[in-house]
Amino acid sequence: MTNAMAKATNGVMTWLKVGTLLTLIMLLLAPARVLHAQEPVDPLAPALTSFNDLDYDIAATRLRAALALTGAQRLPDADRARALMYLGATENFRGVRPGAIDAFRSLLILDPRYRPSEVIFPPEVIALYQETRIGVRATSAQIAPLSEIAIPTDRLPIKIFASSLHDIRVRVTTSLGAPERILYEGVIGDSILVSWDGREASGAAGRPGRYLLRIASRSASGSPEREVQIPLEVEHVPIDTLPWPEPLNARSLRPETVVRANGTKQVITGLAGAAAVVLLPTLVGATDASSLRYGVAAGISVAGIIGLATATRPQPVPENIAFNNTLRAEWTQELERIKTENRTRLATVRLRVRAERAVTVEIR
Amino acid sequence: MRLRSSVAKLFGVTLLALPAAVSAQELSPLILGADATTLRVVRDVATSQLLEGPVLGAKAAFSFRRLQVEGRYAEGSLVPSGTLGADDEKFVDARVVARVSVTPYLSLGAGPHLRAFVTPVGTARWTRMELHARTEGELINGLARVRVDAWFAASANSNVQGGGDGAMGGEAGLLLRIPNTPTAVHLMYTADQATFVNGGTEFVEGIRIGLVLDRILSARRAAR
Repeated sequence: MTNAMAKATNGVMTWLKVGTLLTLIMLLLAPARVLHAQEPVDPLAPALTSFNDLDYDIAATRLRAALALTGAQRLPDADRARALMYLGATENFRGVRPGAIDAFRSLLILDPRYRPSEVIFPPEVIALYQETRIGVRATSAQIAPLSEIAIPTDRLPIKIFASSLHDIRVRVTTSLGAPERILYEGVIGDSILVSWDGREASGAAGRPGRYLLRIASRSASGSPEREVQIPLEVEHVPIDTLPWPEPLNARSLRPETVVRANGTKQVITGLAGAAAVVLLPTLVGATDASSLRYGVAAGISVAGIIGLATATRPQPVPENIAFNNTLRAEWTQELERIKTENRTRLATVRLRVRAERAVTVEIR
Repeated sequence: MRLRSSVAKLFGVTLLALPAAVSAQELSPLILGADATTLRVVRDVATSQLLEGPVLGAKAAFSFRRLQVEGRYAEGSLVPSGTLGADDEKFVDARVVARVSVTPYLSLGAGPHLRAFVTPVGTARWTRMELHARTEGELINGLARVRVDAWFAASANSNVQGGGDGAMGGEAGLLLRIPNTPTAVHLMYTADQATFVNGGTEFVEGIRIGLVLDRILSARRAAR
């Protein structure tokens, strides 16, 4: 009885251990499965599968469906370009040449720089794409989403790419009614670099507000076919001016005057000089000197008294005055430099230009 | 003995002035001056005689570092006072002193001193070799200074009254700077006592007003 119970208990324990082990293994594997499940799914995968299976009708249907998605489900431009390329190839394989050309045309308008892979697509598809490209006049522009330009020194660079050789007209317009500013008018081959100096047509600095960068592609007859429009949000960046230098104060300046004496020396000198004059005849042994000398002695005494009065007056210290003058000159020079710098800064207008998403508008 | 005692007293006066000398004597490279002296001569020989009169003088001094050579010439006409029948005398005085500044406030020097009294009957001459001591002190900053100059004749010769026995003298007075000019006005009292071998004495005193062109003082003022 006891042995049977013990065997039953051991069996239960064994199953519990196995169960625990399996649970741990599943818990360890679970994150990997979750991560795998979160990998992005190619929205074009079903269509491309059909394309690779040579099921072109279904591929075309799926590609058109993917391209028709709107709102949050709208394909990114890169995927749209890929979808259009596969759609063009699919239509070509289906023998629907106008549909293929239409897809390639849409692709070139979306991305004039698109070049199909010669590994994926056969030469006849590439040839049809190139043939279509020659006939399509489209452009795209590359511009920094956020940039700052200082007028008159800086310029906003705009790189323009073209699908084919044609005439374009690049201009900046404003909703404020100002005349348009022509940035470029002429032929574009592969690409060109134009720039905007931040000024309006009048030459005045751009005002805060919305501008529109417009790149119009023109037909051989000169009429505009389509236009790439990039809204530009312009605002003025406040200009910081330099603060004036700290004014010179008593701590930085040396004393220019000093009281050198208290007058004692002047008094002693005056008394000694007057005494010398009065006693001189006696000292040399003369007995019948005149009283003329008292006038001189009085003069010395008076000078001594004046010396006593003036000795306590502050006296200039030439080396300190020179030092302070140098300091003042340097301060004035620094002030002038800052004034000049501030004038330059105030004459500078700094624009912050925010470029928004480009939109292609068909003119006709 | 009396003369030597006086010498001691004279230099004592000069030395007494030293503590009051507040600034160094500055030697200008070139000093030129002209002066006028109201001279008074008291001659006590056989009889007492008093002569008075104006004397005009000129001086020049050249300095190099601490050495200065100064020459002075003065000439004038003296009129006897209170003596009937006495003749006028022409007074001529020439002196050269070479000085060296031994301390910032004291200079010592030596040099010949010639003096003559020219009368219709003859000329009385003095030929001396004198030792000098000079000190200066400032009274009004940059404007007024006091100067004390003392001299003692190491040798004194005369062609009258049996010859010279000794001489000593001194001068003291004010040096007033005229602001913003290179000039200064000197107001000095001068006294000189000479002793003859026969016991007679000749005392010369005067008040001298002079105008001095002083380049270095001018430069100092300009700097201020």
